[in-house]
Amino acid sequence: MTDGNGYPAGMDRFALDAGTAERLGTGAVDVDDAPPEYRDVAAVLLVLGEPPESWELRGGPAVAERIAATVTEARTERSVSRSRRFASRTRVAVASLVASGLALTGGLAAAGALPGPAQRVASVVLGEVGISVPTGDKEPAHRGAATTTAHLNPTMASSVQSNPTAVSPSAPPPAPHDATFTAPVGSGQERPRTAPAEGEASSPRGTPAGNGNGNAYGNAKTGGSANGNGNAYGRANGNGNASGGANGNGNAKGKAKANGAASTDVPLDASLPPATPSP
Amino acid sequence: MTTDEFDEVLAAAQDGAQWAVAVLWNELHPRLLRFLRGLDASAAEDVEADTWLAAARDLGTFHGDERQFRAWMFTIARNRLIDWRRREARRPSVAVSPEVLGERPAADDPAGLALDVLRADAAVALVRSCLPTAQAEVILLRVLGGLDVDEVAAIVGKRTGNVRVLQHRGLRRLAERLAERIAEQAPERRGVTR
Repeated sequence: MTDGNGYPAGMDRFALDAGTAERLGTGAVDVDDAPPEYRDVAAVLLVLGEPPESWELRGGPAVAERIAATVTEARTERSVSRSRRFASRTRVAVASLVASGLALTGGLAAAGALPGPAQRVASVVLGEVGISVPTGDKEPAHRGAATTTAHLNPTMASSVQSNPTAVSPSAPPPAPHDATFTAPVGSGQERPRTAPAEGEASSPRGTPAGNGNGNAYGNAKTGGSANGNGNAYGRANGNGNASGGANGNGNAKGKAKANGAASTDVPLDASLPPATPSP
Repeated sequence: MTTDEFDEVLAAAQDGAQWAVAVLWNELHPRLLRFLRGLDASAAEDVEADTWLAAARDLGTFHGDERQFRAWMFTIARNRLIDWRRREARRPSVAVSPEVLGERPAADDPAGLALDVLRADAAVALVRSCLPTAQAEVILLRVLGGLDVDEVAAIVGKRTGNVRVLQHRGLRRLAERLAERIAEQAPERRGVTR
């Protein structure tokens, strides 16, 4: 009933349970503690894990020196690379921040959601590059992309604005030279339009303006010492300041001629030539 | 090495201190070399050198204890060996005459089975000659790396259960082959005893 090796036929002489396999796998099982058929295995594994022989450690110092040099070199490279990476990341972060800020500001400016002064600044700045955004005075300002030029009929301008000689007690204080101010919003304003418009206003020095802007609201910018606003749409309203201390308000009824596609539901800058200050 | 000692040695080695690198090298070099010889004797020396250079370049980024360091080193060694084999597979092979090979004693010369003369390199050769690579790899990593099954599984990229199976089969196969060889070599010298 036994085969050549003395084991019963059919018996697995190399049977190995999981626990024994795990212990043997550590390579630290003493030969005498191993199952009889695994004593050789235990012996081989013990030898495998024995401490190194002297010949195995030959050349150690030279190798260690080379490895240490590599470690130092790699550390230096790593620190340089790290600082470069940091600088690069910083640049990217700043650029992203600026871009985000600009995008946010631009978006808010386009939506007219910025605070008044900031909106005006954004309007002016973006207007310089051909982008029109609201000025924050309820209606967008359009600069540089005029589509409408409105002229007041000179004959109807007898009471037109910007008369520096007409001092009104309710007029704002004289604007400084080259000052920009926002004209107050009046009632009965223009119908909403779709296209931007900008008009021109011309006012002879010290004389009532013969031409008005096509917008009733907006910034009146003094080219010299006079500011004026004009309403080109049916009625002209204007304010004028003269550096000489003269302020004037006026209303004019007349018709405006509009060239191009007018959209005057927007404030407008009215640049007037310098007016002669009143004595 | 205690944990504190290892931390001190590792920190110094990461600063490039030669003495600390020497400590790590003395500790791990023989194990790594035996491991690599157990998988590919012809590549072991070169691959082991590559392993240390690779480890030196990344030593500054290593964080962990001694056990993890061993696992890290054996992982690098294994990866380097795989790279080496890929490179070799692309190279043309060189034919060697049988006469030349006949002059060289086999690494697993059965004479070495006498335990009192069995040395580590012969034991490595035995494992290599008796076992398929996957089984030899698991057993060598466990014994030489002092790693548990989970750590070995992480290194070889297999599941823990698979590693246990490979270990079980490897031990059994090793026992069978050793018994066969001893029986063939010297019937009067049954078994390998210390």
